[in-house]
Amino acid sequence: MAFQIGAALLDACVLAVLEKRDVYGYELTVNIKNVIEISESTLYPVLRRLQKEEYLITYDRSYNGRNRRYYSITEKGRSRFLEYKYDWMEYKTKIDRIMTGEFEYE
Amino acid sequence: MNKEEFLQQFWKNLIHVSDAEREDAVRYYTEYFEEAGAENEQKVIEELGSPVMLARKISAESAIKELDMAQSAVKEEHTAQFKPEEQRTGMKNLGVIILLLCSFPVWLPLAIVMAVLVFVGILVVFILVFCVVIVGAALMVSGVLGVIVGFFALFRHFISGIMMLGAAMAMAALGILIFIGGRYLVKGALALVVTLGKRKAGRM
Repeated sequence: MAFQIGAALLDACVLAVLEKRDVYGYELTVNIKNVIEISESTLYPVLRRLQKEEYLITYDRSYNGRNRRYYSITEKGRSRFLEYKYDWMEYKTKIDRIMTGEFEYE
Repeated sequence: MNKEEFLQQFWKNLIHVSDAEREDAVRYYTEYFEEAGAENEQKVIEELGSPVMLARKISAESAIKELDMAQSAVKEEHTAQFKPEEQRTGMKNLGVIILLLCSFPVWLPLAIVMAVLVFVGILVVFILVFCVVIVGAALMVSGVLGVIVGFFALFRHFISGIMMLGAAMAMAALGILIFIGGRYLVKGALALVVTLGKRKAGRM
């Protein structure tokens, strides 16, 4: 797989997951790794960044005597995600056009 | 290496990072280990790689973030300093006012003439429309009267009576038509004046 997923796109993917429901760190990593190849060391900085920008908040729940930190999307995060979705559609279309040779000047 | 050693090394190498950040990062990966379960400990250590590298990566990310936020803070200060923009437009307005004051012998008479012309124009329109209505009404009234007279004339002199009736009825009909038409003209004239007035107000 030649292509690496960029930081902004990763942010968008995490928000996409959070938009559906709250998740805890490990769960999020497993879910995303199911679909795209990322390393564990990648997700933590993404989560910190999103938290600093107030796109998500955290809360703790106790589970089987240990602690789980859950991540939850904010309203600000939801609207940012909508922007990301729009940008992604544009980007996807453009790259598709080039890849399928649609861009040529007749 | 086991989980404790990993986390210790990780902690030690998180330098140039605030205490809160360090605590948060260690907590995250501690939880990660715990969720994976004791049986997966080695697999996780493998996946995470070197604790030193991980710590450096996270320290770097944190430093970049701090730099980004510091830069955007500086940018905000810069734009706050651009109050001179407001002062400049203020000066422009003052200049315009002075210019207007000095030149008023020229523009004031012109403005008065314009205003008078507009007023007279509107007046003329209304007078014309009014005349139409009056004519219509007059025709109507005389027509009706003529019908009555003609009716009575029928008994004295039949032919003249018929003639009068006919003429009077025609007159009355014409009068009604003009009168109704005049009302529409009035409405139209009023609407025209209103839209002209709005346009003038918009331009000013």
